[in-house]
Amino acid sequence: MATLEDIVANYGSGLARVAASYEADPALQEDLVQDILLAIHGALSSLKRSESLAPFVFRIAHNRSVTHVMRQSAQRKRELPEAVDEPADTPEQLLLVDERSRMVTMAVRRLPLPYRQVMTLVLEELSYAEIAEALGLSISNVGVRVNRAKSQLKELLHAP
Amino acid sequence: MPHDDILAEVGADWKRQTIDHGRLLAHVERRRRRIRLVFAIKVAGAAIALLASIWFIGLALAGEALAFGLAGFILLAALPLMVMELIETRRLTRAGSNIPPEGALHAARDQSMASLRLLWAPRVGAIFLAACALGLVLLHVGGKASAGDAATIAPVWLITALATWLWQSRRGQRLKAEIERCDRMLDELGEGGAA
Repeated sequence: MATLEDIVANYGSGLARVAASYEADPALQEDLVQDILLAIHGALSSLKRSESLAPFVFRIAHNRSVTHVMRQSAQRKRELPEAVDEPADTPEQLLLVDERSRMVTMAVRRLPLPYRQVMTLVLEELSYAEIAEALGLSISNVGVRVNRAKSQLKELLHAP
Repeated sequence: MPHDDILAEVGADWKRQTIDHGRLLAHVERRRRRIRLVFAIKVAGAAIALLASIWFIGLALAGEALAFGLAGFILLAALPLMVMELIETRRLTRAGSNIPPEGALHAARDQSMASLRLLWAPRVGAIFLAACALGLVLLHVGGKASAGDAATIAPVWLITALATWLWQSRRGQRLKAEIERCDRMLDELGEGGAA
């Protein structure tokens, strides 16, 4: 069975990127990543032998992230996290980013939720079958969403 | 530009964002220890509350001041809430591994709805505590409780009751906002599914 160390080593950066697609605040991002990792660690015993680790790990990441957004936005009384201004760099931020990467993350964060979810997993190089397994969708639905996500992402990145 | 060119271009930028694994692992381990400690403190708190309530009620039955009986009864009434919170904390750490995000949102919504419906319990508790504070003052007036008890315990109970009431009101507002936000996210996911 995978340990917490294995999960952090193999999926830590990917999980942090997924968390960043939901949460703009670096401190809350780290909080969310820690929450996701603890949830994965707590649920590892329920992982079936036949089940792949990547869909399992990213399913928990998305589940924790949507509930995080639900609770945080209610707490902050702000509008959609997409509307949150990008905070300035802080020494405590989890992800090491450059300007171009930050723009990509911001664009992904602005995608509607169903497209954002598939896009983050495509960018993490999961197959359509794995994305379908992680998000509980049919493979054809994943295909439709990915195409729409790509189209919207292109528009967002090339918007003036 | 074809869409896949966008993916190739964006993919490289996306993957360039990395983390310090050692630092993250250390922080997660620290948080895991803190969660365990908090859980242990809550279990100890519940156990102490149970023992103290039995002791206080025993003292009251043995002929000590009636204030002991009231205090014991209050602690006993708070115990189910403490135990429920412990169970919920344990359940939440394991939730969400076998359902898709839409299911997780439905589960979170159900949980917020249940918490909203259960707000009456701490509110009744606050009223009960305030009534007990008043009862203690009346016991003092009737000569059954000392002035010291009435002057120290009654204000503590009253302040706790007021704080509980205000906190639950704030919690109620937050839960309603959570449900509203959850509904918006579920609508958004539903629209994506209908695409």
